This record gives sequence, structure tokens and C-alpha cells, in this order.
Amino acid sequence: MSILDRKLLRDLMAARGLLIAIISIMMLGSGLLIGMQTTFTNMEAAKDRYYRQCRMADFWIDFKKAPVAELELLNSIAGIRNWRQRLQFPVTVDLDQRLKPLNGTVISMPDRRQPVINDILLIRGDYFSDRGEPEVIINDKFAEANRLRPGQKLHLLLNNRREEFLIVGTAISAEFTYLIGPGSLTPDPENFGVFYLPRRQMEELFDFQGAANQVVGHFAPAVQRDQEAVLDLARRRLESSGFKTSTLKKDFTSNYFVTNEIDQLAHMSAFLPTMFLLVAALILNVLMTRLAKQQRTTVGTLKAIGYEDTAIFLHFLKFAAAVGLIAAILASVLGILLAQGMLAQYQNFFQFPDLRNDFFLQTHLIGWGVSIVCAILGSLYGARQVLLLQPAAAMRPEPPGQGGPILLERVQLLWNPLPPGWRVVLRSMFRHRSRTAIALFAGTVGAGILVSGLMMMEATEYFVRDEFERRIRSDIDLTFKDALDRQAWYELSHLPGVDQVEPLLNVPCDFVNGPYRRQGAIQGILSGAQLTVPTDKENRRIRIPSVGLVMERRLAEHLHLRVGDAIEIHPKTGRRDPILVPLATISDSQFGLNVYADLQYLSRIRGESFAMSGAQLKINKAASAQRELYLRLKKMPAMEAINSRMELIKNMRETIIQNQNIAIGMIVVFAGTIFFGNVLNASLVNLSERQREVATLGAMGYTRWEIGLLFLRESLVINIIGALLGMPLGYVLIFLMTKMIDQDLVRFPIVTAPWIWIAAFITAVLFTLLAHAVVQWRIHTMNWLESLQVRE
Amino acid sequence: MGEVQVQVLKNLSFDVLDGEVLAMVGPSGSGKSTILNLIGGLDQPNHGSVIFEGTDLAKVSSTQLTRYRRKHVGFVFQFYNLVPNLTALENVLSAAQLADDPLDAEEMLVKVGLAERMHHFPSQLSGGEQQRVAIARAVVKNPKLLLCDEPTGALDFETGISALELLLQFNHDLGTTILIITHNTALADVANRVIHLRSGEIVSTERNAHPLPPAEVVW
Repeated sequence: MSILDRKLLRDLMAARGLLIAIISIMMLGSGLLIGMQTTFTNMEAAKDRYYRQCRMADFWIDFKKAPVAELELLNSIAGIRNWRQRLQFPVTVDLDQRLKPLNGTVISMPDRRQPVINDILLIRGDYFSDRGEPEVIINDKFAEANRLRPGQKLHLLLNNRREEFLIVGTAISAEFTYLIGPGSLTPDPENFGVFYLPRRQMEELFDFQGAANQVVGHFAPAVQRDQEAVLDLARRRLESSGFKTSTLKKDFTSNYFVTNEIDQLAHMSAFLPTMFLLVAALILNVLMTRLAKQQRTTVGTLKAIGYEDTAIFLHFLKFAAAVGLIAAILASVLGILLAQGMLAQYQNFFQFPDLRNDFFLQTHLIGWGVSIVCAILGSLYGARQVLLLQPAAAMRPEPPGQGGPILLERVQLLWNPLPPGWRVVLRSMFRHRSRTAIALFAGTVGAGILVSGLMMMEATEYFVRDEFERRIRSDIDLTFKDALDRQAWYELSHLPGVDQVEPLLNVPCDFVNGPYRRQGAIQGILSGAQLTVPTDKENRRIRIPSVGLVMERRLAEHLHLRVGDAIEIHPKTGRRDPILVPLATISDSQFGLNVYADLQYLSRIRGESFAMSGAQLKINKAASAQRELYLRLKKMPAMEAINSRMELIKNMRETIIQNQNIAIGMIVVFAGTIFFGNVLNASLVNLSERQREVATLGAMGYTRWEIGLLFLRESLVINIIGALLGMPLGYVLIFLMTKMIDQDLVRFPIVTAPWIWIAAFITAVLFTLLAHAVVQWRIHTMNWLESLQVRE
Repeated sequence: MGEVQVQVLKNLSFDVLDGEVLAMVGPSGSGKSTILNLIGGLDQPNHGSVIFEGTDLAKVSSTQLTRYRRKHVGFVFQFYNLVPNLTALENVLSAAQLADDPLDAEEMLVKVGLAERMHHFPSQLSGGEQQRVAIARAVVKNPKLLLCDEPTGALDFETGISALELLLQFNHDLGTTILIITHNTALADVANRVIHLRSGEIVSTERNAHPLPPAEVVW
């Protein structure tokens, strides 16, 4: 090891207090990069493997009831490579040990095992046998959550019958990687499952011999951009066969959530590390500039002895590279742990058969490279100072720093009332303008990250409150197999424990406005509905007009519609003739693309005076009342699905809160590291520069606490101003982030709350105090005499 | 060793002869340090020339200047200028590494009487000891020219004497040319030649037929 390298090691050791701050920020930056990139790559790979394994479909087409023979028309469409017809129905599950009926989807699978599109992956047990007994394969997580095993029995309520099935196996499938019930945001495996039945058995149960209600398929490889055109062609060919809706993979709920999550991960893994590394580089710049000044004489001496400029320049860059390297090594460890944590978390949400935490050397090398390059960039300026230093000049003591009044002192009105302590602070801040600017920037970024993170939490909370408690207020939602008449409404309202019933009429349809076409549904509700409350931009309740539609703003934009325009609707159920209706009002919500209309108006469009396809209930929440109600509901023949929204919301809240606590903890630590490192670096550099001044104050009789206060004031001013500036920055970050996410299903609100500002403020102050504790300790252990003799 | 001719400040010109001990004496502001910097290749004059073995140092690039310092010059500074983060031995090695044909670093430290203190850091050494390390560091390259800026300036009388003795011993043993600048006229008694400076001019030049051994110098 060369002598200069030895000096390097000792310099590193000597500066370790300062370096801890920089290294921890840099480590977080590279660690986040490595961890999030690893998670991203693993998620992407797991998804690809899984999709391939299950032959994940490119599209889904739903029919009311299509004769299988007619579906053969699909073969004539060049853009479709292969397809499979199947049956899929919503189902209610009656578990002996559960009071509440559970929901799910039942799907037909070939009687005998064969590779198919949207195949299942058996986890436990076997595929269907020939024993003749009704058999079912159930979703593995549902089985796990409800402690069901192959060999046990299970009751499904389907087509007005309560049927008993023998569980033969548990399985998962790529199309339900993110398995959520209708209207939910988070998976709830305890209450929502998928059930696979043999095709023949299912045909009999639903009277679907020779017919199907769903097609899943793959596009021909050449079809990339024209997927919608292919499906449109399919729609036109199969219109008369009961074509209802078609869905592309990108819009398919599970895939939407999986892909969105992975995309977001990709964005964040670029954005977050950049912020940290930028801050680290800037702080390193402050340190290196100081180091270059501190080593002025040494540099001069080395040059005098005969060391070349490049050797000394490289020596300083090596210092930075070493800092980057140490940060990189720690980042690798952090990255592995982070990926492990994130993947474990994802495994809770997504059902992947093999979500592994594979190690990608390349990702680590990139992380290392970024860390080292960033450290070197951060020290170029400081190292250049060394290069410019003339040896003869370096031997002479440095000329005294700038003095004189700062600009603010001219504003006597402001300056005069300031106590001397504050004057010192302000002068020091203004005299080291670039250092102050960097510290302010770092504080701003720290607060920005904190605020944006907390705003995301608040948005989720707001979303749940707004969407699930304010806009839809029912406790239980019912879906009927077929549309019912007023009698059903009457019967429901006389069920025990039911406080309020509101009928719903859901009419799936296509919305057409000239060249613009969208699939969707109209939800018919009472004009004075209490349990479904569409609202406008200002969150005011919208009264349902007696004629025309109330349409979600985003859908209206897609269709290029304005209030008062007429729109053509093509109903998929009831009378199917296209009809022109006016757009009466625009509504604003955060979830889905809802269209509302007056229930009676909608019934008339269908050619009936009154029809209801479902109902919303408000119930008595006492356990005994619930028990009886559920028992009665389970026995009602017309029932297709019974959704307990209370459970859904409770569950969603639990899941969200659990994740939020982890997330908030991490965000606070991340932002706190920046606040901490920022103040520690600025204060220690400041202290080392002003050692003589500090010792002089000490010699004059100032207490060490009083001296500490000078530094604390400056730190607080910097981080508090940073926190204030960080608030709008956080707002902007959130705004940009929401722009990156597809907004058709979920539109995250940009909301803020006083607690966020308070939390940002408190975090800034808290971590400032923490960093100041280190500075105060330094001041307490300082030897006045030695410091007085320091050659500055 | 060839001639070193310098024209500095006010028509100032003198030679440094191979193997001699030359003292330049003058009050502060007389231009001593400037002359030292010019001869040592730390600085270049705006006008005039500094000729070392036929090369005009005023006209070479900074890289060549560095090479000149590296090969031919050893510095002893008033405040020693040791690298604080290196031990005594490492400080000496830091110079030895640069030379083509360096002397043995440990031997040098033994010679300056620091055999026991080789692994101490500058902060653990007294001023006199630090100056000895500085001398060892200057000499270890086996330079032709040893430039000493107030070598006893920061030392007490006795340590100053012993530092001087060391320098002269190297002059004697290795034939190193030594240029000492000082405001202390007494120091001049040990030199072969003394140049007196004032305000950038040579006031007088005198030759000591019989330089005193340092032990007999009094200031």
C-alpha cells in the first residue's frame, strides 16, 4: 500500500463522524436502487413465468349464453390464434364454520387434465377424478384462510341450489394473481375464493349444455396495436350470440393491479434513489470542499516534495470513491434485506407460485457503480480546489474569510431587533451561501419525500372513507340471478334485521358517441337513493335526474361527451335495441367508471315498469340479528351473490393500516436520515471551521451549552425552512406520481391533511435534535487550549 | 553541480555553488521566502531566470517543475509541515517513494535520532522531533539541494542547534548543497557563505573562511 493510500485510510477514519451521515444517505440511495430493482426484476420474472405456465389469456369475452357451435365463428378471425370457451359464474359459499355467506367465482375446467388457456396450478391434492361425486378444486389461499383441505366437503349456493362438493385439490391461477372480490381493493382470501368445477358437472348445474358464457384466448403474434379492433370484430360477429363484454389483459382486474404495482416499482426505483444520491453527492461536495481547505498545507507540502497534481487529485477522488464503495457494500446488504421484505409483502398480496428473491449480480454492480460515480461527482469540485492550489500559496496561511455586513443587515427594521445569537446564525448562513443552499435543498428533499409518502397514506385513507363509506353506504349488497320485480323489494325489507333496502338495476351496455366506444354498465338507483350517493367535484351530492345519465367525468372524457350531449347506449341485457339518451350530469369519484340513472327511467328503457337486479341493505349490526339475516339470505333462491361490505371495508382497512404502519415507519426513517445527515454534516463542517472561534468563546466564559445553541439555531433554521419548502415539493411529487398511474380503475386523490404538515415539521425538528446531540457532544469534549492553537 | 543563477526583485543575482552551505539573512519582507520558492520550484518569476544545471526553471512547465522538485530538491519548512495522518516513518517514506534512488528511510530516522519514535504521529512528537522528521524527509530523496526555511525558527535554542548540526552533517556526509534562509544573523556563522538581503536587494555577500560548528553559535 502506498503512503498516500495509508493517509487515505487514516483520513477516512478521522472523518468518520461526518462520513456516517453521507454514507448512510448514499447507502439508502443505492440500497433502495438495488432493493427495488431486485424486487422489480423478481416480480416481473415471477409474473412472466407464472403467466407462461398458466398460458395466461390475452383477452376475455363474456356472453350471456352462447351456443358453443356459434363460438366457432372466432376461428374465422385472423387476429385470434386460439381460444377456449368456459363457464364462469359468481357464487356464494356456505361454510359450516362461517356465519356469513362467502363469495367467489366458479369456473369450469376440462373434465380431464389437459393444458388449457388460463390453466390452474395444483398446489395440493389432485385434479378431478371419475368417481362421479361432485368435486371441486378451490383457490389455495382461500383454502388456507378457511382451513380447508382436500378430502373435506364444501357447500356452494349455485343456481338456486345448495350443492355439496368434495374438495379434491387446491390450486392457483395466473388470472387471479391478485384475487379481489367485486368492489374491493385488497385481496381478502378469507372471504373471496375461486372454485373450479368439471365442465360437465357445471353444465348440468347451470343448464348450460352445449353453451358457454366466457371465452378466453390469445391473439395472433402479429396483433399488437390492433387488439381492440380484433375484439371489436369478434363483438360484431357474435353480437347475436349474446356477446356482453370483452376485456383486454391490460384491463383485466388482476393483471391491472399486478402490472400497475410493477410499473410503480419501476418508477419509484428510479426516482427515490436519485433523490437520495443527489442529496448525498451535494453533501459530499460540502465535505470535500472543507477537506480540501483543511488539508491545504498538507497538499502544498506534498506538492513541494514533488507529488504530481494528478496524484494528489486522484488521492482526493479515491477518498470519495472509498466513501462510495463503503456505501455500496452496505447498500448491497440493505438491498437484499429490502428486496426480501418487499417480496414477502408482495407474496401476501399476490398469489405467485414461486416469487423468489433471486440475486442479480448486475443489479448490485449497477448499484455499486452508481454509488461510486455519484461519490466521485460529488467530490470533483473539492478535489479541483486541490488541483488549483499553488504549493507556494498553500504554505501561507489562508487569507481571512469574507467579513462585512450581509444584505439582510441593511434592512434595519428586521435586523435591529434580532438578538446577537441570531445575528451570528444569519451571518454564518449568508456567508456560506452555497453550503446553506445545499443544506436547504437536502432538507427540502427530505421533507418532500416524507410529505409525499404521508400524502399517499392519506390518499388511501381518504379513498376508503370517500368511496366505501360516503359514496356507497350499504352494509350488504345483493346480486340476483335474474332481474326481479317490486315484490322482491318488499320481501327484502321485511327480512329480520334489515333497516333499509334500496333496489339496484345494473344494465351492462356499450356507450357509443360517434367514433368513441366504451364498454360499461348503467347502475339504476332510486332518485332519492340514500345508500348510493354520486357526488360532484366539490363532493356535493348529485340528485339523480328523472331523465338521462349521470356519468363519471373520466368516462365522459373518454367518450368526448359534454353535459347535454346525447349518447347512444347498446344494452346487453333486456331489450337490446340501441337507444339515444342525454348526458344529464357529470359525477366525480375515485373508483371505476360509474354511470348512474334513475331506476325507473332505466327500467323503462328496458321496456319494463320496474326491475331490480340487486339490492343494497342497511342492517342491524347486532350479532344475533346478523346471524338470522344471513341464514335467511342464504336460503333465498334468486340470490347470485351476497357481499358483506362491512367485512370488506373492515378487512381492507386492516390490510391497509398494517401496510401503512410499515410504510410510514420506512418513510420516516428515510426522510429522517436525510434530515439527520444533512444537519450533522453542516454542523460538523461548520464546527471544524470555527474551532478557534468556538474555543475563544469557551475561553471567554461561554458555557458549552450556550455555544451549542449557536449551532442548533442554524440547524433548526435550515431544516425547518427545508421542511416548509418540502411541503409543496411533496405535493408536486404526488401529483407527478398519480399522473404515471393508469386512472381508469383507481384515481388516487391528491389530498393533504394538517397532520401531514405537523408530522413533517416534527420529524424535521426531531432528527435535527438527534444530529445536534452528536454536535453538542463534540463541543462538550473539545479541548479549548488545543483548539485555540489550531492553525486555520 | 552547476550554477544556479537567479535574478530576482531589484536586479538581484547570485550563484549557489555545488556542495556549499549558503545562508541568506534578512529581516522579514526582504524577499528571502520568495527566493526560496523560486529556487525550490514552488513558484516562477515573472521576469528573469532561475537556472539549474542549464535549465531555466522560469520557462518550464509545471509538470517539469514538479519533476525538478521530486528529483533534486528537499525542503525543510519552518513549521515542519508533516502530514498529520502519517507516522514519522511514513512521512519520510512519502518522500522516499518519489525518488529514483532514495536513501533508507529508517536509517535516516536513526541518523536524526528518532529510532525509538519512528511509529509516532506528528502530534505525538515535540517540535524538535518533528523538525528532525522533516529533515529526514528532505534528505531521504538524496537531493542535490536542501532548502531550509527558518529551520530553527520554531525551535528552542538547544533543539535548534541540534537541527543545524544534523543539516551540516548531511552536507558533510553526502555533499548536499544547503540553502538556509533566516532572519537570525547568528545562524549565518555556520555557513560557507552569507548573503545579506534587505528589501529585495543584496546588501552584502561575505565568505566565512572558517565556519563555526553549530555548538559554538550563540543567539
